[in-house]
Amino acid sequence: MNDNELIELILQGDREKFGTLVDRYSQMVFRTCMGFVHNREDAEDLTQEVFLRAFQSLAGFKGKSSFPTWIYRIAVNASLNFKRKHSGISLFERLESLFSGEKSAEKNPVFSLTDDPEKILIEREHSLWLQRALDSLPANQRTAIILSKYEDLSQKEISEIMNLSIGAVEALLQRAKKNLRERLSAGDKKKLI
Amino acid sequence: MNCKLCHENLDAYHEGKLTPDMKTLVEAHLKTCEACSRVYDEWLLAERIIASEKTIEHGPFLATRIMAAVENRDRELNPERGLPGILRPVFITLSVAAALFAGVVLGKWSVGIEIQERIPVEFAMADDNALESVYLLSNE
Repeated sequence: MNDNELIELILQGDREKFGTLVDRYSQMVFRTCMGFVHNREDAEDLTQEVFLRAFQSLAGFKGKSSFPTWIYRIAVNASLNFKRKHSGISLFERLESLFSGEKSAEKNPVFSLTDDPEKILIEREHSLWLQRALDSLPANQRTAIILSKYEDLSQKEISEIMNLSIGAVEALLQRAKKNLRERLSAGDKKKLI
Repeated sequence: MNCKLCHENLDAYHEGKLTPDMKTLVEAHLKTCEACSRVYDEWLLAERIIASEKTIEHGPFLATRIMAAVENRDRELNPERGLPGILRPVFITLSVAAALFAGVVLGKWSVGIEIQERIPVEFAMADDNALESVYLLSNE
C-alpha cells in the first residue's frame, strides 16, 4: 500500500494505519534530527514531535509533494525550532562541562559502554567540534548540508524540501561546505572538552 | 596550483569529480602544502563523524511511544470518538453488573450433577445370604 492510500485510510478513520507510516519513516526522521541535535535522546523526542505534528496536519496534506518531502519539512522546522529554543541551555551546558564532564557525557550517549574510555573521549571531542561548526552555519546552509550529508539526498530532492531552485541549492551547498571547512579549521578540537 | 585554487577544487577532488590532470595538481599541492593538507584531513574527519552518526538507530520502542502519543492526541482532538470522561465509570460499573448477572443466570440454567454411590462390581454381585455371620464366627 503506498503512502497516499494509507493517508486516505487514516483520514477516513483508520488511525492504526498511521503506525505503518511511522514504521516506514521514523528512522529517516530520526537521522535528520540527529544531524541537527547530535544527541539520541533529543532526536527521539523530536521524532515523536514530528510525527505528532504530521498526524495533526494530515488533513492539510494535499499530495502536491510526496509524503517523505512533506515530513522532511516538518522535521527540519522542528529541529531548527528546537535548536533556537535550546541555544541558551547549550551555552549553560558548555559552561557546566568546564567544571564537570559528566553532564555532557550523559547528553551524548552515542558511544557504547564497552568502548575504550580514551576513544570515547576523543570521539566526543570530535563530535562536539563538528556540532559547533555546523551550529555556527546560517539555518539554510545548515539544512542543505545536513540533508545532503546525513540523508544523502540529491540537490533536486533538497530543492523540493526547501522550496528552492536546484541552482540555489547548489550555490547554498557550495557556500555551506566552504564555511564549514573554515569553521572546522578555526575550531580547536582540544578546547571543546 | 595555489591554495585558493586548491580549496575551490577540494570538494570535487573528494567526490572524485576532477579531471585526471586537475586531480594530479591537487594531489601534488596537498603533498607540499601543510595548511591545505590539514584542511583536507579535517574535512575527512568531519565526513567520518557524520558517517558514524548516520549509523545510529533510534530505540526499539520509539514507534510504540509515537503511536501512544498519537492516540492520546487523537482522543484530545476528537473526544466524541471515545466515551466522555464522566460516563466512563458508569460504563465500567454497568459492565461488571451485567457480567455478574449473566453468571448467576447461567448458573441457574445449568443442569445439576447427580452424585451416585458407586459400588465395586465384586461387592455388587455378592449374595448377602451366603455371607457368614461375623458374630457367629467370633463365638467359635
